[in-house]
Amino acid sequence: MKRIHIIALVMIAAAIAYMLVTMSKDLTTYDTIASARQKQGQFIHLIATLDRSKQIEYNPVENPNYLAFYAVDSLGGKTKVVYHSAKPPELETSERIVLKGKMNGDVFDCKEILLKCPSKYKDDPAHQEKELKYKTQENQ
Amino acid sequence: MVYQGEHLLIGQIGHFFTLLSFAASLVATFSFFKATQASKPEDHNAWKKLARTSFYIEIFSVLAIFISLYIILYNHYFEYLYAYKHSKRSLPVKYLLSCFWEGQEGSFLLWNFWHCVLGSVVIATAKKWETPVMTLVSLAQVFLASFLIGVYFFDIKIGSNPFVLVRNELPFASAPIFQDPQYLSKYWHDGNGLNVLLQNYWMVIHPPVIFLGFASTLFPFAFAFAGLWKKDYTGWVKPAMPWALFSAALLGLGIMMGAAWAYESLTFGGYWAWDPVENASLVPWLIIVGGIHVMLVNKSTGYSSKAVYWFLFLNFILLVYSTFLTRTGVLGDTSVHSFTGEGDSLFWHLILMMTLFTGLFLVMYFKNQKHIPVVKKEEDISSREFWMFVGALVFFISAAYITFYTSLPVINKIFGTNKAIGEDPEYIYNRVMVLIAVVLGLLTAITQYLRYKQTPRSFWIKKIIAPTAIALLISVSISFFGGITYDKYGIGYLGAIHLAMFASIYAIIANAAYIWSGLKGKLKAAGGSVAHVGFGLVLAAILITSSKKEVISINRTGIIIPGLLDPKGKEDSGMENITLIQGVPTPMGKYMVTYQGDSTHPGDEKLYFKVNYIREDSATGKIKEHFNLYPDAFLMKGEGGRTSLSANPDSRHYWNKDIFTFITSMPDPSSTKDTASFKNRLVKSGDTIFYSKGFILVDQIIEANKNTNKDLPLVDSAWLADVTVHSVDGRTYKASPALFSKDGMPMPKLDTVMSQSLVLQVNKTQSGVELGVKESSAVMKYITLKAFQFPYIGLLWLGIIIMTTGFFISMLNRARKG
Repeated sequence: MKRIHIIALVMIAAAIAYMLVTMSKDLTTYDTIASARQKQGQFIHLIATLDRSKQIEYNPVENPNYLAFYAVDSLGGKTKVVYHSAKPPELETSERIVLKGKMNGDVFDCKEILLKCPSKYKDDPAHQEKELKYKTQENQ
Repeated sequence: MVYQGEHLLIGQIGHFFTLLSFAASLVATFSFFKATQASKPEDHNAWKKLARTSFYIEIFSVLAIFISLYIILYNHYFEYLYAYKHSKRSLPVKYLLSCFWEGQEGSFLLWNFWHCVLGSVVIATAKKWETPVMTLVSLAQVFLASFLIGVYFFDIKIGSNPFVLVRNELPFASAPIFQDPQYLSKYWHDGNGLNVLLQNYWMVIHPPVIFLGFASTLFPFAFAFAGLWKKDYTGWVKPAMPWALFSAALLGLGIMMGAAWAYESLTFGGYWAWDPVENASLVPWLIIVGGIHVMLVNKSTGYSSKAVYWFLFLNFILLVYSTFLTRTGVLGDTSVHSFTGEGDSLFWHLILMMTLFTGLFLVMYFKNQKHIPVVKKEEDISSREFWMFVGALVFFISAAYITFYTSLPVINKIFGTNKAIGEDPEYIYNRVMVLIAVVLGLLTAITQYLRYKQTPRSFWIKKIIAPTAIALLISVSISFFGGITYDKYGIGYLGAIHLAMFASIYAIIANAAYIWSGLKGKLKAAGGSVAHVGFGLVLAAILITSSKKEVISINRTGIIIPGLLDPKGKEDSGMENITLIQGVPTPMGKYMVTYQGDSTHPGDEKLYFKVNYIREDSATGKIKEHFNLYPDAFLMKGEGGRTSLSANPDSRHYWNKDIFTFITSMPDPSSTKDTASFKNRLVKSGDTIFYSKGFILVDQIIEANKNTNKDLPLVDSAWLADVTVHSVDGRTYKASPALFSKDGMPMPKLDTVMSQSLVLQVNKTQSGVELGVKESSAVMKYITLKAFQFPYIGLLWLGIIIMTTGFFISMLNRARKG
């Protein structure tokens, strides 16, 4: 084997080894609210929707960096979510939210919110159906 | 039923040409294949003639599709789904092209169009390589064309036709309004409009450039494949070289245009976020840059004769894979970018495409592997090719690392796991990339001074000593005086940043010097060195902008009263939003900022906010800086009449920094209902009550009733509070809320302090007089914003321009020699 092949193999092996070592720390999981409660203090991803029956608590005049709302997941789990930043403008219209953060007692301490919004998802048939209803009502 | 007012002809023409382009590319593939295989020259020429003709028909078809779709969009024919989904009447004409790119069909059409253009160049220039290269190009065209045909083949929908009518597509087809022949004039007046984020000039030019980059990756691979096919294992490298350089130039430029768009119109506060969509386009660039170096090694020395094939193959297949990631919705919850696909149909379509090209390559490669000439002698450790190959390998490893983390959703799908990237994705990428930058920077500097085959040590040391010393001097002074103190991740990471800083400065200096010392200032031949200088600049700029980016809108909850600390007792780095009340100057970093109002412009759906920045010299009070920024936002009417906000930032550009500002929140103009409530407290004269923006001093409490005071003719009793509001900016306001009572009925008299959005009331309870304080957003106009200071962002754009120029110099130089 040539020197260059040895170098190549060593580099690739080192990269793989590095990834295997760091992976357990770098990777997290998607969880339900119920399973997140079991993993107190661990950084996880929650896929949920906004609980529209509850009020969104956000008063930028008092504190622009405090947002609290309730999220529900498809299994019926429910949790309060606290986010220490501005309210994402499309939160109310979102269809699905991915919350990244930690469960802290009964409250989900959120570090990042990803919104799946209808305006971005024009190709989604479910959304088109909704849009159509809206449009039809508007025109009648 | 005959529908009235529809324009069906144009759609029929368009659909006809989608089918024609598919058929023509099939014929072209077959004929180019036959021409390549033909042993007799007259057969070869006959097939080639047929193939070229089919290819020209295809070009014509693609243009015809493009024009038909443009006519539909331009004339607002909303009976077509594409126009309905992606445009609307009020959309400015300059964004009509963006409507093309927003949809998947338009993107594939654009890709197809660039294949046509580049394919014509191959026909004009590639000579003996034309037919094998074009066989592969035409095969790719078959796929790209098939994405648009939208026909059913045994219940399986193939592709998605951009010319379908709304009324024929679910869920619309079942709606009752489409039973009405006059639906167009009665109900269907306008389209859905273009995603507001795409209404930006970068989005008009970024997609054409990045898709030209995408399209170009096929060509170096096609040459490599042709080399295997024609058993000319080294001859193809030279003609493929300009293609690879072109590909790297356009991909790099396209990626950075996307970054510029993100910087200017997205609000994550930067130009790069390691988003899967960004990663997916970066990976092919990394591979092609590695590939170029391996090709150079092979062309100059004959080494790396096998690696070239793999680099160019991976480049193309990873590009198709990136489309697979971003367009099929497989990324799902991991990306903020907004593509979803045609679902399953496109998913399998792209898998088929990747499988077919991979299969063709593997069969061809392993059939020929034994015949590929290999240099038996080892590379000398002092040779240029040795270190160039190591560099290419580093590019490959960085691409592999990024691909792994980007592909997590795919891995989840295959293995049924539910893994996601962890708490700090940027750090997970950055801590590896900073080391990659160290290695690449050093290699870029050192290797330039090595010679192919072997380098005499004394010669090399003599040449490189001066650039090394200069680079050390510059980078050490940057380390000492540059104020790079990014210690969020500890001293090790900070050290790596400084090391990378040296490596990138080294790359800049060494390569700039090489243009004179090594190439005697012959710019024509210096493409590589110029590109390296640009690359070094890009690295340096990334390091500086990322490590010295500063949030200046740190919110200290507004309270700066002497002797009173922030409730948390310290600055919280998470508090990055600040609320500005109209007309109230608020300190932010070293600036005093004031939200002065908002305005709209005719013909523009955006709302512009005027934010005034002033920086005074603290000693003399003289104004040192004074400017206005106009961050803007689209207010979108959503379902249920709610308004949502889509903000675009505005920046003040200085030569050495940008002040970057965007709106994160504003009161919903449609809902002025007041949700805040009074907080009541027992008070007596001299008491102090704090609120979020200062404190309220109770000057006096007056209680009066008919018995004690004869001057109360109208009411029975009264409780008055005279207060002074001291706000954080040093202003004071007088207010006097009161409560009256007549015939046992309370009559409150509220008082408001508008600029502090305070509402004050007085209550009487058993135990005494209460002062009620309400901070209400409904009183006031305000905006919440975030502001950053980006140092030296201009350096990044400059680096990209220099690097791209270098690629082009090199490409022209090699094409000329070609």
